[in-house]
Amino acid sequence: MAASGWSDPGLLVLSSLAGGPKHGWAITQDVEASTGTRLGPGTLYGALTRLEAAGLVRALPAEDRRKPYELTPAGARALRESAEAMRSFSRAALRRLATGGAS
Amino acid sequence: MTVGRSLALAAYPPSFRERYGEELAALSEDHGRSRRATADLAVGAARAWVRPTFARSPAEVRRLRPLSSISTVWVCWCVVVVGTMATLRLLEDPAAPGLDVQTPGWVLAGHLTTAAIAIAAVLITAAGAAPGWRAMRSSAVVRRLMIGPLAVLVLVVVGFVPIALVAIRTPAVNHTKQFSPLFAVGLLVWTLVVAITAIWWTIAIPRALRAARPKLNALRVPWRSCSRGGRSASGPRRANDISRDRDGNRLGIRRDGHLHVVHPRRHRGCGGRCRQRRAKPDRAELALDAVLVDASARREALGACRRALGCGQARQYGGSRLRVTQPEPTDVHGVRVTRRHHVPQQCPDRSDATHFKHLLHR
Repeated sequence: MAASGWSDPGLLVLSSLAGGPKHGWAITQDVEASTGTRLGPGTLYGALTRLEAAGLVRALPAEDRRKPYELTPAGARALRESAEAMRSFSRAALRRLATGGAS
Repeated sequence: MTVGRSLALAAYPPSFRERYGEELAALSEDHGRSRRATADLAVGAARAWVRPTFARSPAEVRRLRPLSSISTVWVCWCVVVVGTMATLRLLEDPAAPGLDVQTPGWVLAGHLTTAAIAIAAVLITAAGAAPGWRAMRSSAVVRRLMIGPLAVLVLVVVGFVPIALVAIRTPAVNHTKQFSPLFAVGLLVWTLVVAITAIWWTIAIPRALRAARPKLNALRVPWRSCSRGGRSASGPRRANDISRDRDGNRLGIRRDGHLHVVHPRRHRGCGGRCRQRRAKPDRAELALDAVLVDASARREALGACRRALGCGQARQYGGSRLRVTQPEPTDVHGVRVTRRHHVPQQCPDRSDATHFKHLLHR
């Protein structure tokens, strides 16, 4: 998965599902609590369809009308790669800030 | 749920609603009466039309993608036609301030627009009439979906005749025709029926198309439904041709029961004399070694190959058909497979379809 940054809904969904299977509303609340970003229903399901088509998440049997989703091993790998790329980016940025003397 | 929210949900493509409709409706209810959520749903619906994503089997995706494209083009065409006609009416009748509808340029633009729409309508009718008629004859669901739009279309055509006759026969007084109130009411009703017809047809065609479940080849434009190399490369279509592999080679079953592979691109320009050549042994050994013992086995193997290769009705795929995992000769659903070179054991996390593709593409 090509993550485009913190605001990428796909990455936010993967990050939320890393904590365990969740349905749409639980993902929305979890993402809002952890990042302050409120995903709209269209945005969330746009991301979920792409992630499911890419095999990064899979649907579990429905609970009532709501269907929980869980991370697949490929999704976990993609999330780890993205998170590590972001970590190395933030490390490099912080190091440059520290050595460059910018306040 | 608000009307706007319901409309936004209904605006999603049918394939999306079929898969995610219930859960998306439940989630949108959780969002309460938020306008932002409604707007987000509307944007999501537009995105789902423009960039459809299908979490299905590859064969189902191959079937749904052209359906989605055709539906989108149809809806866009309807919107453009109705929008253009409505804009022209609004500008010309009565003429907008500062607009002289008698100028040659404006008249020419009007004629060109009308001609373009008419030509496109004729082309669409020519392309869609025969498959549409066949679909209506074979499917009760399609008949039920199309009977209403056809009825209102007949009403529009029948209603147009008296309106046109009255309009032609009404004498002009000082270059202005004075119509009776009855005619005005009739015209208003007819316009309303035209609007209903346009909306109904816009919605009905994608629904009927989906209900008809047409074959993939029927949805392709004629010059794409044959091989890349054209007739000289691919030859006439054979009833038992089953699929193409990743490189565009046609896979089929010969009369003697052998599976074979045709290389359309390698033999382009030969005048069709050598169009059914075997593939190189290292690429198609499995295919050429599969001996099909009789006609019924051939038919079964044909279906199994079709499903394994990811074309045709893949959703009917039974799970373990045409599994070729042993290096020794084996019978697979009546198909004698004598594969001589090493075949890797089946990877447990691969579907049979993927595995069979893998074998063919080695």
